[in-house]
Amino acid sequence: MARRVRKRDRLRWSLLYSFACARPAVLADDEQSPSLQGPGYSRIVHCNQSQLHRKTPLNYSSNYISTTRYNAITFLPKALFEQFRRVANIYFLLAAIISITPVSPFSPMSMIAPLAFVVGLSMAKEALEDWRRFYQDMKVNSRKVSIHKGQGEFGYTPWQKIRVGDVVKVEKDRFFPADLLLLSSSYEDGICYVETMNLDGETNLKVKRSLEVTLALEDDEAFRDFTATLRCEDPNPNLYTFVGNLEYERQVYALDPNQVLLRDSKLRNTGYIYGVVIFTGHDSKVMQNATESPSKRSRIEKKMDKIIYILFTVLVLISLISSIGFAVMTKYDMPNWWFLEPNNTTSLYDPSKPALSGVFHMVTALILYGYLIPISLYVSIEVVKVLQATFINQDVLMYDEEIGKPARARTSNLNEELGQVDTILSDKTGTLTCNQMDFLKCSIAGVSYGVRASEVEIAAAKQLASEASGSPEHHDDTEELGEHNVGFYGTSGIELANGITCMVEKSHKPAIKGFSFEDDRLMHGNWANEPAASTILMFFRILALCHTAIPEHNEETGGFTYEAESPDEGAFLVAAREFGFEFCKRTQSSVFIREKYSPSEDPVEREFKILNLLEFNSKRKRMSVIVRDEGGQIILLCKGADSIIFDRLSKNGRLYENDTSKHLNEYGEAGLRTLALAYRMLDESEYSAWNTEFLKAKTTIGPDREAQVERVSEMMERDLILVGATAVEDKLQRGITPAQVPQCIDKLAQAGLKIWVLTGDKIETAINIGFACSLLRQGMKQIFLSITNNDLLTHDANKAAKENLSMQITNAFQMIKLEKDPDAAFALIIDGKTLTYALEDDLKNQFLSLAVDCASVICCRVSPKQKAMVTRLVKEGTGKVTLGIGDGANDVGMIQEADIGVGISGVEGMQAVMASDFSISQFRFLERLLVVHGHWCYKRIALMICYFFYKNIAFGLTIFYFEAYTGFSGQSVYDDWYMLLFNVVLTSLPVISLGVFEQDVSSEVCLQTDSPSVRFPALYQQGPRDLFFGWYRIIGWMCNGLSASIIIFLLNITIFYHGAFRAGGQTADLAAVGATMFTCIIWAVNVQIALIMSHFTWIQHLFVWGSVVAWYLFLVAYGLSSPTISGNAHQILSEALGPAPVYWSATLLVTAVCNIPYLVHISFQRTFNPLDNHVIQEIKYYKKDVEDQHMWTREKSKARQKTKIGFTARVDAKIRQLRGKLHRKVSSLSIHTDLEPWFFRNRFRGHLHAFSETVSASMSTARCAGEAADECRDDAAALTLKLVAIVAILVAGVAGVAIPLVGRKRRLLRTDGGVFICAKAFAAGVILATGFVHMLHDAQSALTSPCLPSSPWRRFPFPGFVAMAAALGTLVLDFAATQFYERKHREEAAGVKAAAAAAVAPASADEEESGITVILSVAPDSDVGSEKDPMHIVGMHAHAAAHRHSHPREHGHGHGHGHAHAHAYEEGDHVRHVVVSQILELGIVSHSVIIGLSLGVSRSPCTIRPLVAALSFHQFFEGFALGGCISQAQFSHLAASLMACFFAITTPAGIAAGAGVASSFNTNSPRALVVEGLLDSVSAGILIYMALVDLIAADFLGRRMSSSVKVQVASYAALFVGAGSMSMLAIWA
Amino acid sequence: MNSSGGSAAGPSSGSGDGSAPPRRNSKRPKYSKFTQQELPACKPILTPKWVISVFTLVGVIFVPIGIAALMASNNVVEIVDRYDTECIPASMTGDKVAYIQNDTINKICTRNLTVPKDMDQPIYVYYQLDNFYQNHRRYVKSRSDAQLRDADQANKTSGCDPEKTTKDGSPIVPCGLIAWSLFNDTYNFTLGNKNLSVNKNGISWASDRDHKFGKDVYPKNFQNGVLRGGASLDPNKPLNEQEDLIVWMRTAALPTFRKLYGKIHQDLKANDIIMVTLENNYNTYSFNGKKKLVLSTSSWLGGKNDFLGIAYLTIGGLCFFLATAFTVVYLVKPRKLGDTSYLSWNRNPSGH
Repeated sequence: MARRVRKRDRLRWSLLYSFACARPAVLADDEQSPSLQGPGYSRIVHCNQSQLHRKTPLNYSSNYISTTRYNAITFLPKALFEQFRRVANIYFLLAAIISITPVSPFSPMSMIAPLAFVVGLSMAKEALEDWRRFYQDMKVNSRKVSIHKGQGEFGYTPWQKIRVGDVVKVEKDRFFPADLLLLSSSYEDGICYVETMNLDGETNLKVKRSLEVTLALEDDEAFRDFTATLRCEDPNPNLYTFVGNLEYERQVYALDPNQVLLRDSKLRNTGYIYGVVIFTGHDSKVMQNATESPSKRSRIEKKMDKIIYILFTVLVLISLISSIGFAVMTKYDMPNWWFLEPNNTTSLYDPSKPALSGVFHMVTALILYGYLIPISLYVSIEVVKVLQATFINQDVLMYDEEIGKPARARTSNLNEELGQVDTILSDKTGTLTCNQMDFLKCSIAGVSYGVRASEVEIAAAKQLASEASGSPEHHDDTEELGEHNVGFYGTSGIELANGITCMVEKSHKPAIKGFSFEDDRLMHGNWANEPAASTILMFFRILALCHTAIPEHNEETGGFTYEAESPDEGAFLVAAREFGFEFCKRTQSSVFIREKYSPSEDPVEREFKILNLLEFNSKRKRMSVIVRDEGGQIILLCKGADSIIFDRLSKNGRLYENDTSKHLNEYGEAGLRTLALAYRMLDESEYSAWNTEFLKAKTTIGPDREAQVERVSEMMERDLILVGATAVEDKLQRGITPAQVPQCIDKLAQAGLKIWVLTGDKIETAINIGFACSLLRQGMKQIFLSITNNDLLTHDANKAAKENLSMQITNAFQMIKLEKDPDAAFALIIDGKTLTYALEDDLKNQFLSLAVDCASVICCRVSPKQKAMVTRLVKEGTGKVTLGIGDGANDVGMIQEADIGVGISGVEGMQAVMASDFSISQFRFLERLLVVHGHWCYKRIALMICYFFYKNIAFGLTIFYFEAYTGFSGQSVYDDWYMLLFNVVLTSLPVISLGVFEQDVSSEVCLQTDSPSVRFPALYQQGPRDLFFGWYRIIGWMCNGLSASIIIFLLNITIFYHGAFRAGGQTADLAAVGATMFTCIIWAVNVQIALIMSHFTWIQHLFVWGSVVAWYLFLVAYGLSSPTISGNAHQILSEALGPAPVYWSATLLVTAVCNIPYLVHISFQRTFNPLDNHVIQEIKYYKKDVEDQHMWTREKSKARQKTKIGFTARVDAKIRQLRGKLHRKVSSLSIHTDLEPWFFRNRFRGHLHAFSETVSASMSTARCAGEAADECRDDAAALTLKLVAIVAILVAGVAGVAIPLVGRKRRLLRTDGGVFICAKAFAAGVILATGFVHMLHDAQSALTSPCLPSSPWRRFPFPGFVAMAAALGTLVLDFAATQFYERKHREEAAGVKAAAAAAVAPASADEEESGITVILSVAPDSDVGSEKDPMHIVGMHAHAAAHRHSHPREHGHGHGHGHAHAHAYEEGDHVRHVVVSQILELGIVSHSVIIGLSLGVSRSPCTIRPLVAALSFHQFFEGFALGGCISQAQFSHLAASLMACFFAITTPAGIAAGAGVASSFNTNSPRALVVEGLLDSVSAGILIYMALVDLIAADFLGRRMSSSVKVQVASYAALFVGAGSMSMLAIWA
Repeated sequence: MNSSGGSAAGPSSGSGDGSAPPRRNSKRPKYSKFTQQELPACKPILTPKWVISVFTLVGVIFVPIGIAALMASNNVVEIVDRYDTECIPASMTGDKVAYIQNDTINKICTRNLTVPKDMDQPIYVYYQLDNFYQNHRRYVKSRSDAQLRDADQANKTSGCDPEKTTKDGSPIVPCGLIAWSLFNDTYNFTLGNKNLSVNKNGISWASDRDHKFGKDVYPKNFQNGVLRGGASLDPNKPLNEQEDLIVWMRTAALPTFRKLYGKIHQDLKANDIIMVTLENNYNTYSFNGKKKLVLSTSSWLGGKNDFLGIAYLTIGGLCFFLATAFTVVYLVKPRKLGDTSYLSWNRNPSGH
């Protein structure tokens, strides 16, 4: 019947394939089991009728998988979307769109081409990556599997063709193509073995069993008529559950995970299996599990975004300036420019609508200055990172020969983050150890057997030995040496027995994997002679029987190897084999063991019938088998965690309990994994009664089956008799040389990294591993945080536990605080249960700060979730970069949570690796990954980004400056092509080569292992401290760019001003100037990058100099192209520029001048303040390391970060001990909740007492540090404020100066009435108070600090003196500058006069209405000059009077505006205004710089904050005044704009310079205090002078003030309020 | 320099491990100096010696260049005469724009220039304009290179707004604002009674004449609109012979600029008085621009350019100063190279 149906189906298929989905379902759904109808349990599978699943109701997805992100159609839109999610790209896209309109300053080509290039490159990368994924998918999809094709015939089909319901046959060592229901296997009992490494990373085999009913389907023919219906859960990602039932031959059978074979696991040890496909393709559990690891971004990149935002702000700002300038020019000047036909324009240049033109111009300007934002930055960084990742992948020194896996950078996003790691969170198992188990010791019947020392013991003893000898060189000595040392682990109070240490033979016999046991009492059958021989026999039988392993016959050796669920089990079986109990065969119901009681005997094969198997799980922590031996006796054999077993012992079974538990502790402390073994004899009747119940439980259908089985098992596993315990060693990871892990940890610690261990192990094991890895050492104070179980009610218990923990933390804190010994180290050890409390919100910060103070932190018994939570706590709590490293599935959370996740691709499979960002095959490679690659990548990326911003600022700003000379019209001096090529071609390769190849020091210096054993891991600290990408660095580079742009522009403009530049008399045109300027830029930036680089391979040379050559080549080629393409640049190099010496000499000059500031800076730094890498470079350069070995070794040891963990710390501790300088007691403090707090306090008092003396002695130094911390001083906050100040003051200045300039209506200035003056008075008050109250006080406290030597500093009131000197200096400067300017003007005036006199014709006055001749106009000017002289002399005596002239700014906003017309009439000429405004400009500018400086050097946010407001205010009014004057003076617009711009930038520049000065010294040293104090005094003096003389005297004693009583009163009030409120601030400051 | 690494990463003894199957080695990264980042490299470091010698070297190079440039600049004799203010009748000074726009007024004006020093031929004649934004975007863009080059492309006037076509739509050749505003003052020089001939050939770039301005392109419809800009062109002369236009079409970079007017092939003696008869046609009065006539000789460096020499001297001097300063510093407070006491861990031992 079934066959007929199928036949018909096939027919239908062949004919009506395309309409199949329209057909109704053939089979109606019949009764369903009730539990499988709800939501989530709706899947129905018709076995062997896959055609049914191609149609609508049951049309499940095919087995085709695709992990690609795009396909051919979606690629373009999706990838484009991804690209334009970046802010910078959006900007460039908009620019490109606008470039098609006439608003654009460039041809569309020059905007679109770079964007297309950059985006295209990124997209190409995406496409390539996706292609690789696609290729992988295709490989998987086209794998072949044998499938039932009908009529009992099987044939091969690609995986992707498989449908739900198909019957497949999978052969040995093949992967399952989909999630299958196991029907039968080559074993008659329907079991099969499965390796699930790809799923959960576990290497051991798992047994799967088919249902009994399907066992009959054991050959191909049997499937001819097979049909069944399966109902089960819907696709879900849960790997370990499966709920479903099978309806077969009208009976319903329950299914459980045991019958399900998951896709991507592998069939092992089984010939073949038959199975029905349940879940295909993306429905399968493994695919459901595949989630993309969260994408992480490095800190540098985040910071880079901020810089881009800053640049955007600058861009908008200069665009604003430019468009305001343009609007002004268009309105006032454009109508006069007949050559532009102003009456015939589009709205872009319409003089009648200047505002509109201004708005249009804003868009133009935004595009034009877009070169500030490096378009190619992202793509260059991407390229660089990919190459860096390639280097990581290709590093042979990180390749593990044994496993055969190189290191992999799975994401290239985080390369540079590797150089900034602060804390490493490490898993223990598998990370520090290699997850390979060796049977090492056992305790049977209360006697401990096994003499070989564990690796942990060896390592610890060895290190103890070297500690004793006090030299690290013994470190690599043979194992034996170390083992002679006794009495280790003072803290734990356990001694390693003398006798057992020397047992390791020098000639190892061929090692048996998994067996390192050594004890003649048990070996070679000698056990029979032991007193408790029968117990020993039982012990061995338990080892041999109680497991789920399968023997595999090894053809070569004739012996057996075992495929076991866990490595421990394998080790047990090997041990049993070696003891003479060889497990040789397993059937469904029996286990066969070849027993050999003595070496001479022949083995006897015994059969044990397995009656029941009570499986292991992590909740039960035990497993048992119930066997019937040949004598018919039923025995329950059990092995499990000691605590579990001990709870279940019978009264007479506790004979060996004490001894055994003692041994277990010893083993634990030796770093071994332990299990206890026990057995129970059963009566036939008892067993059968239980068995029926057990069977009932097992056949229960429904979710509570598990609980049932567990309950019934529990009934049997009691009244046990203890036999003994096993101890298995989990070996430490080793590399080529032993003890690589401790060494690596040591070096990482030296590099200043903190290491936390998060492990699931027992506390004892963890501590011992800690000792072995040098994370703990003798003499370290161990702080245990633990909470014992209280039997109180849960609520109370929670609360009590928390309080308790809080107290423990506080106490521990106190202990650390009061520790007088600077070398004392603390270790924090906490268990999982306590951690749950410690991680709660109210305690976690307390806990974290305690943990940060401890040298090492070990968390034991933590769950995967807790690992992730701890990681998050550290990451968020400290704000530092964390690195999570682990190898197992339980580490995934931690790896994903940490800033950087590193997976160890060792034995435990791939899950951690899949979630990680980097994978390495051994822990020890972490060292190279971080200290070499991380350090390099950090520096490279940091340098590269800084340089990027430098070059783009240097280039972009020149365009802006040139704007001012073109009437802000948006004309660029460069050809479109130059600009197009700048970012994309001409400067991109050198910077990429910098990012890829730069090495400040060679890798061997970074760490390295061999010969001169050169290492400076401390260099690594440059990363975590962010030395190369701090804000000061970035701003420094930006300033460098700014100066370069100014130099390039000004020099070129001046050189090519208007004279001929060729011997042939030709003058330079736009194209010639542009090309020359561009040449200068190319040279300057390339020489700059050459100066940055410290490592030149031929590649760098090629790129850097190649770029320069490429520019010339381009210029020649461009010149040769048709003039319709090249325009005025036609033959520019070959004809115009090339033969002109001016061109070449300008290039040389500009290149030199641009780079001299950097060169001076770096030379200065290297001379006075070299960085570590500079010194080391020098040492290497002069080969001093070779000549002066001693020095080198000494430095190398000093270079280590002061570390409290690691091997080195041990040695250091020992040395200190030997010197006897410190009387440190070894103390271990274990705080338990049940201990009286008093106990702790008493002990604690002891410490207190002992240390009190020293504490008081060190008080004086403590105060130095304390005071600095207490004050309101926060460099970071101050810097932020300074940045804010720069922007705020810039804006205020621009606004102030622009208003009168733009307005140019006197009417506007009238607003300066009362409010204006009062506001100014208020600002004056604020500044005055700042000087007197804040600055002077700060200076005072800095210079009288107790940290300074009293001899000069406290014997003379320096602050006041310096302030006075500064005030006088300012006066002199003020005077001198004014004099200079006035003289210059007099000369100029005289020159004009002379010229006028020489002229025959009467000169024409500029203003038609005035009609005054030149001669007339000159005369008053000279009068002004002469008139001024005596005034000035007077001014020396009376500030107020002098000020009126030296700083006629007050004329500006004071009577200058009020009486502007009067002046004009009095003096009769605007020349007066010219002089006034120029002097004003000079005065304001010079004092702006100084004020800016004084703000810049201040380091306390409390002073800066009000100062920012006051100065912005001040700047605004000054700008207003200056603007007024300038507009009165009627300069040309160009000159006016220049003056205005110059004014606007000076104060911000001063602040930047001040910030630079302030940053150049260290905060807490005495020298810094002196510098700071002096700078504060100077700025106090300046501020006081400015406030009193320039502001108050000028305003209050000026003419204007006397005019109105109301204004007078108001301004006095404002002045006092300003001064008063600022002084008030000092209360809180 | 890169001795290590090669040995460490060379053929490893991994195969000695019998248990390792051969396939494993396939994943082994291939060793090459490139992938191991061990390419031979020079690692220059900035020692005081280098610093001092670099600065000295720059000084040594720059100072002579500066002196040479200054000398060259000093040898150049330059006569600058601003004539726009003078060449205007006293009666018209009140309304200069009206004066210049009135075609009926005779614009001839005479100036006497005294030669300050001997001037050797060739003497270049320039006109200098001030406050004239030849670099304005609207102005720069208003031209058509295609049209200038090829007679067949006379219709390509797309960029020439607003001087594209005449009213009836026929294209203007040469179109655009630049050509339209061509400078039209003329100068005639007489020395004593002798006429100083001004050679106007070869004042433009040869490439412009040969490649950019077609020899078969003749001015068409030029300056016959309502608005008259600057000079007219001889419609019978091909563009590549209209050198004034070619020079003018090279837009200047700055609002103050000089352009070559011609050359005088005759030596002048000091205190010679040259009489210039000029036509003051070009309107700079609208925008307060100055007009100057410049006679200048040239040196190998071009015209008078003191700045270049001064800049070189300054920088050279600065570099000498820096070199000296660093030398002094080096002598007074020498830092031994590779002196380990400067390492961060030695400087502030507590500050780790």
